Amino acid sequence: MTTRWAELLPADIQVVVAVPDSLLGPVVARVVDASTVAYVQVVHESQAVAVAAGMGLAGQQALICMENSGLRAAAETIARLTVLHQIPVLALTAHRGEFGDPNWWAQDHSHHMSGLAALFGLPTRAASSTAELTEALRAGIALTGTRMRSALVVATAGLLKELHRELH
Amino acid sequence: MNSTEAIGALRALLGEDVVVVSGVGRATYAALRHWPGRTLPLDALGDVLPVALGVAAALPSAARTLSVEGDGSLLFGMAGLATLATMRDRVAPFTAVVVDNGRYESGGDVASRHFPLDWAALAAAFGLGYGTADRTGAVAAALAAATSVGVLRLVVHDDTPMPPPAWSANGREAVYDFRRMLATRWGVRIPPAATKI
Repeated sequence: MTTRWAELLPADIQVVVAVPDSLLGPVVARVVDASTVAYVQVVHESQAVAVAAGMGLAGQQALICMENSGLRAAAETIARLTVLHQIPVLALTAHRGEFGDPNWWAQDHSHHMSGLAALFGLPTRAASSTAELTEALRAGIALTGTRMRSALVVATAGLLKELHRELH
Repeated sequence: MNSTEAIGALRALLGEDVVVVSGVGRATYAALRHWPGRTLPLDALGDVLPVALGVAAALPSAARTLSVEGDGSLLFGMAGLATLATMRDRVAPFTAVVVDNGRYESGGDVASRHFPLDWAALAAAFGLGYGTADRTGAVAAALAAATSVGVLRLVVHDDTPMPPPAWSANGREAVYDFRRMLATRWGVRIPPAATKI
């Protein structure tokens, strides 16, 4: 696989707002290095959601990058801003806790992610290839552009590990 | 000074042409009183500062942006100070206004803290400018001390009960109005929400 890093994110995405994690973080860093997308690193997923919501209000397309456990951490902010106030955001998460994940601490992440996405009415699409990832983000932008719902793209651990191999 | 007088003093200094994101209770009451049509009132304790930072980062630097929230809201979302410090070069001029009555007025009118809080040290820990005022005549100096990116603490005493809401918009309608204001004043594009009629 030879990834075109600068084209992994759709060009409409102007800024990444991230809480780094070991699966998604190095990939995001490589994309930021290769492209003109701006990068803001925050200390908590609720901050990422709120900052991205504010950017969206002012016309900037942001992409939140975080581990899927970040949905739990940001649950109240998601409920307030994206549901109650209907300010849409676009998020990309690494899929921790999917079938076969060897880490005990990740075992709840996947079904909590699914449950929270259902609870908040977050349309979700999984991506297991770079083409699927780019297309899912493009679809997410279209969806959030309706200003009706936020969108969640979930990168499989398999895709992210493959990208890691290419990084090293 | 009370909350409305404190924000009124700030309004007199900054004028009408600002962008405001406000939090629950007195903060929104005072902000809407002095900046109607410029304020996004959020029912989101602790999220006011980062939302305002996102707005400020996306707008031209000529847009003076404020977050206006109570001390309880800022304490609820203290991570916002880290975000403010992180984004300081992207958001100037930006002022995080804290309307400090020392109470959770909207949450049963109980104390917001049971410990002495050194606000100046708190702001300094994040490398942020800081100013404080407990009377309207001191607001100008406090705003200057808060520098171009910093925290402005307005110490207030509200002796009268908070009046019922005087505005009619709900949370989604408020967002709609705020978007329209940003489009009109700052040229923020609102894309069509559909591709087919």
